[in-house]
This record gives sequence, C-alpha cells and structure tokens, in this order.
Amino acid sequence: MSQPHKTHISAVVNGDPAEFLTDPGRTLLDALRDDLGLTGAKEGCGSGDCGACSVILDGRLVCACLVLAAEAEGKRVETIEGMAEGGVLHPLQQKFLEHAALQCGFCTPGLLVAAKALLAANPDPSESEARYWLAGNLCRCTGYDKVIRAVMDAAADMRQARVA
Amino acid sequence: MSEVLDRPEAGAALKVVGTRPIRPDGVDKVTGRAAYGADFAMPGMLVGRIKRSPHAHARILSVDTRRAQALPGVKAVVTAADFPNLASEEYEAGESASNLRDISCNCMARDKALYDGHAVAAVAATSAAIAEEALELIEVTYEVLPHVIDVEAAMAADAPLLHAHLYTQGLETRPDKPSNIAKRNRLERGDLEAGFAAAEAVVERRYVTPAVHQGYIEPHACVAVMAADGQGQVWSSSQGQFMVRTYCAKVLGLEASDIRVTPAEIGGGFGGKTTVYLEPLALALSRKSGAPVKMVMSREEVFRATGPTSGAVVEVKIGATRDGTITAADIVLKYQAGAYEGSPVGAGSMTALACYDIANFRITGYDVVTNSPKVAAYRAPGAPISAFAVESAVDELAQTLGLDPIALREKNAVRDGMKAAYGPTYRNIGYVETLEAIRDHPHYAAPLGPNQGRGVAVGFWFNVGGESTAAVHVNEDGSAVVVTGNPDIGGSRASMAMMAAETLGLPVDKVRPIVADTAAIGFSMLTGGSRTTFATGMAVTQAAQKIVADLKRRAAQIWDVAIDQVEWREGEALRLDKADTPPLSLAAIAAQSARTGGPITAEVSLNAGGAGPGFGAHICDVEVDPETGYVTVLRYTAAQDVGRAIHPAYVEGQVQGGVAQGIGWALNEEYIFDGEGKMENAGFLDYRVPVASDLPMIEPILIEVPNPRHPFGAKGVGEVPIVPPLAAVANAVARAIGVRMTSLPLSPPKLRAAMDGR
Amino acid sequence: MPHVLVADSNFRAVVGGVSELDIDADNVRRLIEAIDRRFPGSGAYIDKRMAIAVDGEIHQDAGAIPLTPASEVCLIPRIGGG
Repeated sequence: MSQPHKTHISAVVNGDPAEFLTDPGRTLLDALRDDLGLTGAKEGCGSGDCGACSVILDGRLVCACLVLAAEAEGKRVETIEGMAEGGVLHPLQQKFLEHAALQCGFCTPGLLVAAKALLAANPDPSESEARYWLAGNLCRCTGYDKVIRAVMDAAADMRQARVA
Repeated sequence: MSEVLDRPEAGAALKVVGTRPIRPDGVDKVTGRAAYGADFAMPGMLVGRIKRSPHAHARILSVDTRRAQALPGVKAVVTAADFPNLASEEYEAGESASNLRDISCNCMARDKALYDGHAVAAVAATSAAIAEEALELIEVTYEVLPHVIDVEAAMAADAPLLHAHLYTQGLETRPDKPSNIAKRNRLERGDLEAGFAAAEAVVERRYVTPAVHQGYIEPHACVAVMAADGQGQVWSSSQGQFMVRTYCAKVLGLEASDIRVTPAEIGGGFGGKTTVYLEPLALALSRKSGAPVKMVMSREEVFRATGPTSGAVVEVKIGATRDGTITAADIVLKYQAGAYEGSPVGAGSMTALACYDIANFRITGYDVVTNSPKVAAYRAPGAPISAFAVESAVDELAQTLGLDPIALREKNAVRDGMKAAYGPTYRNIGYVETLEAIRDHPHYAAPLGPNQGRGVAVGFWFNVGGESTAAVHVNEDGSAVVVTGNPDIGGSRASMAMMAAETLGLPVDKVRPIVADTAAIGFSMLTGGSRTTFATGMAVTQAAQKIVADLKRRAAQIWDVAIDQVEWREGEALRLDKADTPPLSLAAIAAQSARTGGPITAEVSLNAGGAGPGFGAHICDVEVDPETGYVTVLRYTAAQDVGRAIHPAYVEGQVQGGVAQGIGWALNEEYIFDGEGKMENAGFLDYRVPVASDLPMIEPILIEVPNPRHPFGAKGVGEVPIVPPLAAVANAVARAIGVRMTSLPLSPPKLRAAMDGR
Repeated sequence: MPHVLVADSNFRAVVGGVSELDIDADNVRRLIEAIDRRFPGSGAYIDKRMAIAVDGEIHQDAGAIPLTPASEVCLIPRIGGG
C-alpha cells in the first residue's frame, strides 16, 4: 500500500507561526501532540465527547480530535500552552489552583481552554450558563463544584481588571 | 529497632496541616506541561496495537500471524505463545491476592476468548496505520461458543461454562461439577428466624445494578523498552509502579530488578488502574523488536476490555419492631466477576451492614464469572452495590414504620465498642457524628416543592494501610525534598509536603514532594484503598521526625551540649540551658551538615496497620419531571468522618468526586450488551457520565474524629463518598414519585413506566 | 488467653468449621503458628488471604504485634480498595 501524499500546513499556533507535514486523514489533535510537541491537549475519547482536546480555532472552541490537521491551514490555533503569558498565569489558571479545581489534572487543559472561550463570549456568566457551556468537558474527579467556582471567580476578577 | 520519636504534641496548633496551599504540581497541570502516559516519547519508538476477539465466548483454534509479520513496517507480533504458560498461583501485588495466570490470560488470551474485546494478539509497527493494517492480516480461527453475561443466568445449572475447572469454593460440600460460581461466602450472627419472628415490619426486595466503568478520562497508556541486556523500562499511567513491575515480571518470566517502572502522571484511576493490561504486551513487543513501544488504548478499548465493576443482583429481607429496632436482615449478593474470578462480593458482603448494630443477620455472597471484561476495582469495590440495596430497604422500612430515616439509622447505629458486622470491634469511629451533621444541617429542613423528593443514605469503607516507603532529604539551603512511591491521583503530593513541612517546621513551599520510580525509592503499595495519606503520610511524618532528631543531635554538637538541652520548635533548634542563645534554623544546620556527620537524610519503610474505617451520611434532593421521567439533582450534602483533613480542599474534592460518580451510577451509567455479547455503548456519548450541567454544587461536611494511629489523625477519605449516593438518589426518587425503584440506572423510560403504573 | 473470631466462612472450613477459638500466644505470629499446628495448612491460608484485626485495628500483615490475655483477634478476608 503506498503512503498517501503528505500536505504541508502553515498555521499560527499560540501566536507563533508553526508548520508541519501531515497525512490528509490525520487530526489536528495528533498534529499538535506529535508534530508540534504540544501535548497539553489530550485524547480522552477520540470522538468529540469528552472535550479533553479542546482548542480554539480562529476564535471558535473546537474538539481538536474532530478537526482535520489540514483544516488548520492559515488559521489561528490557541492551546493550553498559550494561555499563560510570559510566565504569568492566566486568571483562570490561577483560580483553578486557588480553588483546587483539579485532581488528576487530565481534563484541566481542555476545561481551561473551554472556560477561556466562555469568558470571551460571555464575561458575566451565571452558574447555569457556565455549567451548560462546560457540559462538553468531562471531569471524573471533581464533580465540577470547584471548577465552576473557579470559573466564576476568575470571571469576576477579569471583569474588574477590565474596568480598572 | 525504632528510636523513640517526638510525636506532634496533642492539641498543639498546627501551622500547615489543615491549611489550603496551592499544590506543588499545580502549575504543571494548569499549563499542560505535566506528562501523562501518552505524552512520553522515545527515539525510534514503535506503535503497538492489539487484536481483539469479536466474540464474547470462543475457543481459539489458531492464530496465524505470518502475513502480519511480513508487512513492511511491522517489527514484532506477539501472541500467548510469547508468554510463559503460568500455573495458577495467587500473588499479592495490587492490594489483594490476584491469580497470576488469570492476569496473564487476561492480558493475552490463551486457548479461549472470554469476552468481546479480549486480546488475542499484538503488533508493533513504525506507524499506527501500519499497525492497524497488520491487525487485519492476523488470521484467528475461533470456535464460537454460547455466552452468558447476566449474573443469574451465569449461575444457572445449564449456563455456558467459562472455565472447565472452576468448582465453587465455600460450600458445605465440594460440588462434583464445575460451574460459573467461583466462590460463596457467608457472614452470620445470631438467630435469623427468631429475629424475623420478632419483627413487626418486614421489607423484602430484589435490587439490580448494572456493570459500570470507573470512567477515568485518560485511557491506559504506556511506553516500554526492553534493551538487549534484558533490562526493561516502563513509563506507565498506573496507580502503582511497583505493582506494574511485579505483574510484568511474573507475566514475562523476568526478575523484578530487571524492570524499572516510572509512574507517569495519571489521568484518573479509581481502582481501574490497579492492574496491568498493556505493560506486559509492550515489553514483550519491545523485547522482540528491539525498539521502544508505545501503547495507548482507544476509548472503545477501555470500555470493551478493561474492568468495569460488577453488575449485580442483591436480595434483601430486613425486619424491625415498631419502634425502629432492626431485628433481622437476610441478604444475598450475586456479583459478576467478568471473565475470571474475583468480584468484590466479599467486600460487598462485609460492608453491607457495617453501619448497623443488628443482632441477627445472614449475608451470603456469590462470585460469578461471566463473559464480560474481567472486573477491576472501582472505588470502595463492592460496597456501593450492597449499600444501594440495604439503604433502599432501610428507607422503605422507615416509610413503612412512619419513622424519620435519619432517626431510624441513629437508633441502630454502630458506635465505639460495638462489634462490626464483619467481625472486629469499632474504635474511634465517627459514624453517629455524620448522622447528626446531616440531621442538623439546614438542607434537611429545607422545604420541597411538587415532584421533588429527599433521600438519605449512609455508607462505610474499611480504608487500608499497608506498606509504604518515604525518604526526606534536607538540601544545603535548608529546603527539603520528600520522596515517595505513590502516584498522585487526587492531590496527595500536596499532603505529603504538608505533613513533612509541619513536622520539620518549614513553610510548605520549602518542601518539594516527588513521586519516584521503582529503582529510586523503597517498595510502596499502590495508590488506592484510601491509603496514601494514611500509610504513606505516616512514613513521611516518621522520616521527617527522624530528620528532626538528627537536627537536634547536630545542634547539640554545634553548641557542644547534651542533646537533652536542645528543643526543636517551629523549624529551629533552641538551646535550653542558655536560653538567650540565638536559635539555629534548619538552614543554618544544613549549611554545616558536612561537619556534623554528613548529608541530612532519612528513610522510613513501614507496614501501616490500624487504618481507621470511614463513614458517610448523605442527603439528596431530586425533582422528577412527571412527563419525561427525567431526574434533576437539586441539592446534595455529604457528611463524612475524615479523621483529620490534611488539605481540606482536596478532602472536599474526594467527597465531591465520589458523590458525582455515585450519581452517575444511579441515574445514567450502565454497560449495555447486545445479543452477541458486544457492548453497544462503548463511548462517552452513550455511556453517559455526569457532566457539569447535570450536577448542583455538592456540599461536603468534614467531621474530624481523629485516628490515633496516624500522627495527624488522618483517616482514608477517597472511597467512602461513592457508597451512599446510589441509594440517596434512589430514595429521593422514591419519595418524589411514590414508587420504590429497585433497578439502576434510574433512566427516564424506567421512571415513566413506574409512574404510569401508579 | 486471646480470643480469636473467625469471620470468614471460607476460612472456617479450613479450621474444622469453628467460628471461635481460644489460642495461647503473646503475639500474632505465634498465634498464627499455633493455629497452624492445630489445623495444618491454615497458617499459609492466613498469610496469603487474610487480614487480622487486633482489638479493632485491622492489619494486613500483623507479624509481631503483641497480644495480651484480653486481646480480641478477628480473622477477616483481606480487603482491596480502588
């Protein structure tokens, strides 16, 4: 069986230009993890049901396991690795730590990216809105209680910072 | 053997233990830097994949791997022929004895495939695509056999037989025919007949619970390399690196010292990662190919081929006098073991009545093999199932007698000095305190609206101790490193650092905890059984106490005084005979370590006994939609006797996480098999675990009745929280709709049918 | 003399069906040896499969734990957690 022809992809990942070669059938998740060494996004299910692979593609929250690597051509990809800026944690990351909103930590990158997308779309979510937005990110350890508290607390801090 | 060590003064104010510092591995985890099993890579690494049986029960007549081996890019293929044919032997490497032959055959089927998904061959190739193509080229001929999955069907005399040589143990007379019933156990007390004769109200019901999976979000993953010198290295997502080493050595016929296992960060375990599936295969493939091999399961493989916990049928007959004194209980438990014997029916039997002081009971348990994946431990294994049945029956008894469900439990509650249903006398337990906590909580008095109901349930788990090793090293600048061998599945690293910091008198951010591999730290039993904070924490504290003793000796040497003139307080040595002497800080002593005897280190290995059991009492409010039967959990409060909360936020997290899993078990989760014995819902879409919008905030109440055996009074906490929720939810639903639900999960169609039948 | 409760039906078969024993021993190791002398093979069974509770405290490997004449010893199956 002959190998399929690989495609050259250029994208902007976490603000920096990135390129890789990929088989047409490969997912963005595999390209991020295996080609770019960005292993923060995780494969929990491979079918878009768990959200552990959440990334932001051209401003839209997606499951990287459901996006073909080739679809990243010319697009902006934001992963967990780009969330802290210059060694300073994003308020969501800081609040997750303060609230102990993680136990095993496997779902945490996906949750943080999804929460970042939430607060970009809705800076003042209610508890219910936050829960429904994050319903696509499975966590088996925490029962979500401290996660939601951390997200609401970070949202409040971020709203205040915007005003200040 | 052991010197007299300083104990933390009773009642002394603690400075670190009980606070909520940020966990030391936290930044790694929120930035995506932490390395889990599938994140590791080695140069020249091959991809490993497994060929799995498509039949639930079949004889394996032949496995022909020649075409697969010939495919370019395939570097190794293994089958059962590549593993020693082990004799049946019980070995303890996890937490309880496991049959090594069963573990080996479960990793790689020999002679028979016993469930859909059972591994029959494995390949290692230069890419995933080639590996999967190779799987297609492996030709397996099967003789398909009738299969059986339902536990009672498997117990029937004419059931298809999984193992020709399985004779039921534990019966009065040894049977002359094999069956699928591996074992029967029995616990008895008093006179059952007299007890029921005295009862004025009796509840008799049959309860059914489905097989459910631990549901860790991270699939099993490992990288293994076996070099030409016969030395193996494994990087693995596991609850216990020593367990992985032991099982790999036994399954492959190697020496333990030939294998070094490094624990990766683990993305959830809950008991499901207390055994091996991939590691022996990856090592075997590496040995054959001469290259490192990475194996990662897909989500479908996790469901099809790794242990869920038992599906079960539990029959309960329970009687009480009108004033609520329970006089008799007769319980029969039938648990699926999956393909090989070893369900947690024993623990389910022992915990069933552990919260109750009953004079007359009989508990009978059956361990039954079935054509489904071999059952693995799941958080308080066995206990949630029996608790669902008993707590539902007790709730129905309360309704029948017109008694408050908490009051009924208080009336029959176990207390210090009473004999547990499973034998020993209780000491330093906090059960009654949990009942009082929920009784007095505002939740219990809050008003309920239409279609809403409130359920109460209690639960118990033993918690284990076991072997742990911990080392403490003081650095030249006065900071310290704590080394243990327990993977961190819930924030235990933080607790280890805190206990060491408290003992040494250092701020917690000056103590760095690490989890070491099998070559770098002495043996430790795996992380599970709610044992880490208790047993490994004990080892950590004792090692830190040894350091303190050593620091005092060095201070005495520096001051040239007798050691009894030195006191250690809040991280400093104080001189008692000349009180105006400036104290010596840990850093000051460390700077002079060379002159006072050399590096400052201590290691403690112990086998911790006296782990205190845990109790929980929960309240759950639900609303049932009368049109759809959909259940919304409105409010949940969980009280638990935790001994001492070393890091309260992570203790709360254990409670909340266990409750969430129990709610999932009650409302949504189940293994659905088709007529061929194949799992129909082997993915997170249709195997529905709770999501953020399913749950309310979960309020934990941490009750501290210290365990005197632990230096800080800690008891294990991780497992108790999953025990009460099944019945707490079911009891709430029963009271909301006026119909007693005895079969889980409480899915909308079931509730609709129940409501229609009212 | 320490009083021993046999709280495991499968083990009871190994010790002739009794559920209680009085064994003279001053630590757990010697107690197990004494039981093994009375019921050959029971010692190995205990070592492999049972946990021992001494005065309410459960130990998976009890070894040299001392016993007094008033000690209550309970033999229960080993427990595995998750």
